[in-house]
Amino acid sequence: MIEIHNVSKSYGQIPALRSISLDIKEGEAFGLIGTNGAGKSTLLRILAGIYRPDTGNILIDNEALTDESPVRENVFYVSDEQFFFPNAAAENIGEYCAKFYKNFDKAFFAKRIKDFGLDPRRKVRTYSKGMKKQLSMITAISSNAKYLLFDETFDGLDPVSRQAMKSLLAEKLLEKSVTPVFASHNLRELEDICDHIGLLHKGGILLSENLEDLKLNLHKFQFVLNTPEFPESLKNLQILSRTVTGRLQTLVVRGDADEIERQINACSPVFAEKLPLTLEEIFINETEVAGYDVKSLIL
Amino acid sequence: MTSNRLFSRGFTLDFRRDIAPFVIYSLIFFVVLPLGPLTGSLWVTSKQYLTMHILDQMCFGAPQVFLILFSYTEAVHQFGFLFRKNETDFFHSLPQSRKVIFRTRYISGILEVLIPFLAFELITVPIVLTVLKANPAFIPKLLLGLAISIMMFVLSYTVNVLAFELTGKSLTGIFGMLILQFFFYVSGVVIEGLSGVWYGYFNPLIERYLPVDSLTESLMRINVPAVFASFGAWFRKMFYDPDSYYDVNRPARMEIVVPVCLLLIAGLYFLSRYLHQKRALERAGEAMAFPVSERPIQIILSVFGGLIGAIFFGTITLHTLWYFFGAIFGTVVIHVIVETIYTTDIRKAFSHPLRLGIALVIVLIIAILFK
Repeated sequence: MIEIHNVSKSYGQIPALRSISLDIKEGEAFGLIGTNGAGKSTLLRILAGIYRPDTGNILIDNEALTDESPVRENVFYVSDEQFFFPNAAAENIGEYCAKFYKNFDKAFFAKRIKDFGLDPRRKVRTYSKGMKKQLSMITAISSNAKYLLFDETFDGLDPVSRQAMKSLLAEKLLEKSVTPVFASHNLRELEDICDHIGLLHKGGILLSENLEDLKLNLHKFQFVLNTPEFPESLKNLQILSRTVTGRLQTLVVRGDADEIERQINACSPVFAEKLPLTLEEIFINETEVAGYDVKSLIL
Repeated sequence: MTSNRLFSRGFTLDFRRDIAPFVIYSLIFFVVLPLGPLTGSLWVTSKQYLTMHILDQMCFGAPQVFLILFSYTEAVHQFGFLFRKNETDFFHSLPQSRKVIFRTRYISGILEVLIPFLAFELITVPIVLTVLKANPAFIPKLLLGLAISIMMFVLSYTVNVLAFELTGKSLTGIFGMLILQFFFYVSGVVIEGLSGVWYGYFNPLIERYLPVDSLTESLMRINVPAVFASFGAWFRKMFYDPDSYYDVNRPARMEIVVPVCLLLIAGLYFLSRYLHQKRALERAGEAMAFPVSERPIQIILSVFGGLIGAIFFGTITLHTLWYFFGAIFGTVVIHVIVETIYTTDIRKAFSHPLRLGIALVIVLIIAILFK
């Protein structure tokens, strides 16, 4: 488990992270969402041991993260602009990383390189942006490091490769052998792979929730009533948003789904149904309550 | 993390990866260096002088020029990554401590140059000595010369590494190297000058007014200025007068200089390593790695500019007024350049008048003292 306690970081006078506290549980895919400049990359670099926080501390598997701590062998960081040696081929990159990660799976690396149609002997500098991203991800997964930090890694991947990479990670996630942390500005990109989402904004954490909990706790109902007035009995619900189109009312409500449905049905609606909530809608509603227009931040 | 296992692992990897510069250095040593002696042999007729000329060309003159040059290129090659964000991220995200990264790169840089150099010397020098039936008295001089050349390379390389740890952009790093090297030269001159003051003023005073007892005699025997004077002179000549330091007839002075030089290398190594450990990696690509050093470095650079200006104008005009004009002009120009590099805005060229003022005062004091 990664425990981040009150971590702050500034670049000169510009604050990048403001007293962030966050837990990343083992075996859980964690998505770090935020706009450009929200502090995602800074946080990942701190977790990778590249940058030092100004204040606060980080524990990885109960051990303090320092420059010399052995726990760094459990962390693999994939930057948004990954570096490759100028004349290195893909196989050289694997060899190089294998020297630093004792559990590096060379056979897995070779197989996946082939599966993704990458030529292991071709110079990496001749690869396209997407191919380089694929190589980075394959290297990271092959390292068998427990914590994989991906910074905007799905950017530049075509939909097929993106899905293939997600499947590759999902395999590892099923084995509970890996804890990926994805930083992205695009919520839709992470929706199908993350178990937990942290929303960063201006260096602070706006929200950090398990997706299942969010989905279980937040519901969208649509109904038509005979009267134009909003029933008094429904005003007691924890309504996050309400839209009215003619007689059609749409509510996003926090709470137990059955109980909400029962209360709506008690008002004798002409028509009522529960609609699925997308991750975007969940985030919009959760953060709008906190006074943020998340649509402009992450969508 | 800091284990020797990781060090040797990183070292082997870096060394294997860096085969290209290794090959280039080897080619230069084996192809270019013999050209000097070969052409020399066409016009040197005295056999004794020819042997000396060839050894000079193969161990001291041209090799030292190349060693100094390679001390720059290797510093850039090994530590230039600190200026490039993605490279810095990559190397420092791997599970190896900063101490190990520094040590690995530092030693790689030395070996990449010294292995081909020593291979060249080991192969060619015995051949030359044998073919020319050289006087065996050359051998100790030769070994001493080689030791000095190697030490000079390591010292110059370490100074360059220090400059790279302090500065951010590649160009600034190279500029920093030149400045640091220049200041070693200046310190040599200053030390020599101070020792002259000691001999001319303090020694007679001590001899005249202090009681001749065992303590005074002991102090006189230590002869501190002599040590520093020899070191300063040697250092200055080593870097800026390559022909004149082919003087192996002063073994006693060399004996003093060698341990001092080794201590200096060790000191600079630990200072550079400390800076590497303390360096904020987010400053990759900035003009200065440590904001706190911006002010003193700018003053040092401006002083450097002032001294160069004074020397330049003073030498070409041989006029005192122009000498002082050069001092002020050089100081102001370098101040403006550095300020622009720091702020990347020419309009802020005079935004720190105090720094300019301090640099001008220092330059004028030095200019008056050494006029």
